[in-house]
Amino acid sequence: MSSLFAVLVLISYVYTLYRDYALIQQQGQAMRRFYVGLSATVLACYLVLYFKIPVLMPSQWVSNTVGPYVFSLLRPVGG
Amino acid sequence: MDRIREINSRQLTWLVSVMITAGGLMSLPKSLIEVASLDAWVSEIGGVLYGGMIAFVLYQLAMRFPGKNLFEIARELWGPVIGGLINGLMLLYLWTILLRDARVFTDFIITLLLPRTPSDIVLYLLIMLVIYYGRSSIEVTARVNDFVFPAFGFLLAALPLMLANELSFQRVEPMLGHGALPVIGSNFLTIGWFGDVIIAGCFLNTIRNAKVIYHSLRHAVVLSAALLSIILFMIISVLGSKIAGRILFNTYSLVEQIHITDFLDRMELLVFSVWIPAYILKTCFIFIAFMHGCTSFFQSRDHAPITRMSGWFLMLTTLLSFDSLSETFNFSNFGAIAIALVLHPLILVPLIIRAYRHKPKKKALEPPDEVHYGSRRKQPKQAGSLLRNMLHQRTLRSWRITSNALLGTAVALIIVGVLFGPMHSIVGTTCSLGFGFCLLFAVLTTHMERLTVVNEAFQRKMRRKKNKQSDGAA
Repeated sequence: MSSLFAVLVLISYVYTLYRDYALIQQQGQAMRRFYVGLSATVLACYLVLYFKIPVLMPSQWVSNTVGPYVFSLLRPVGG
Repeated sequence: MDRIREINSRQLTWLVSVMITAGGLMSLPKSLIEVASLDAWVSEIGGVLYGGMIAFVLYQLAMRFPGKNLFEIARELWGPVIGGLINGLMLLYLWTILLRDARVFTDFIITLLLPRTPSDIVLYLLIMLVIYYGRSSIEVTARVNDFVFPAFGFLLAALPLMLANELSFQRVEPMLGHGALPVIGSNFLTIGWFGDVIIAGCFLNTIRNAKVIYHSLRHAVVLSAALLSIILFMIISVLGSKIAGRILFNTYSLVEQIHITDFLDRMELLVFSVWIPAYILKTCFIFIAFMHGCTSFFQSRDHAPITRMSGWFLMLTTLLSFDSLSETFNFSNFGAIAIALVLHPLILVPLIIRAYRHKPKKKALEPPDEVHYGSRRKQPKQAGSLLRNMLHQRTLRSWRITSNALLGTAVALIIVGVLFGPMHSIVGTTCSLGFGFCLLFAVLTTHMERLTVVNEAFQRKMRRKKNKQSDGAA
């Protein structure tokens, strides 16, 4: 993540919180909790990306294990 | 914001078609050609059968729960805990598809069109657009798609004409000459893409008549298969299977080959200015489905408050999800099939088991209140064309039988072709071409199915209105 992009994302995130605040206040408690959880997850993802903390995403597991397995099943078929 | 939003059957058909075709264009051809080589262009029938099966399951659910989408049906059938779990699985599926699509789009743009632009920025712009559409409703996406899909479909269908000077039938021969296994393998792969029809389940509430949903989805699946088959045939006949199997985005290379005159030799810019909006609309369609899934936990249909934050969540998880282009391709083409075959049964089987205890509602077979297509329904009878009258005199049942017979013949031709093609090349060629014609005719017959079911629903509504008026007068 380049520093320019990091700043851009941070500004977008803060602006989103600012714009959504009034809307979220009108929602029920469950929606408010969900929003807090979602925004916390976004912040966590941002920090992981910014500090380059190694994480194994489920998609990477599928790409690196399931994908090649399916490919190996089909590849000999095509020659 | 909580009003019922409606789209018509054509819009549903085009949305599902753009979802399957635009996604399949970017990365699928390479893997299909790698697996089935020359026979890759007959790979779509497996996807058609799977997509048709999902459409039938959605039809059964829509018949029993009119005006409800897949998430609401799951909650109603299984309660908040197990229903919530099923909805969670559906959300997981939608999220993986969004990751795949956003990443494939970014990789496509930075590899071929804007190599000096950072991928993060391309992704950021895509997400901004997705959020913009996501804050509105499915109606907006459907209406924009009404502009984009005709141009998109026309450009795909016109490829044989535009590339007539480049294609060589010798590159496609021997057709079906490599036995059954490559064809089975490639047909298996397309299931991962055609399985995306399940996303239409998130919008079951937007069309009230269950039959209209079913026939719209059937037509969408067959139309997408025909368009993808055309493009695969063109890729193999223009680039050859060996080169096409090695190029990452072989669709782009194919379009680069269009040289209509000396002045129109950069047609790829024109073609991609239509294909890219189609791809973005597909992503928006899935994102709105994802939003519906999120709000289903709060029993609400207003997703505006969480759209922006969900967009940023999607962007950051997309950046985290894949390290390289090969990972993205492995995921989208080979991982998608595993995900679809694991998650689809976990989502649909529990719903179907419980749904069969409920009787189909009469309301689900009634025509929609808001008929967008009313004025066009009267045209066939007034038109003097013999062919038109002949086409419109047939019943829904006869169209359905014809479509099923055509698809059955297509499957039978492939089976005969792969069995006898390796020994007699003429059999392989005849069966392949027969398959192509069956698929093209099936596009017409499923289209007529859709029109007939809409027409019947409209006429029923008119009859009921007349009866009410005559009762009132009496």
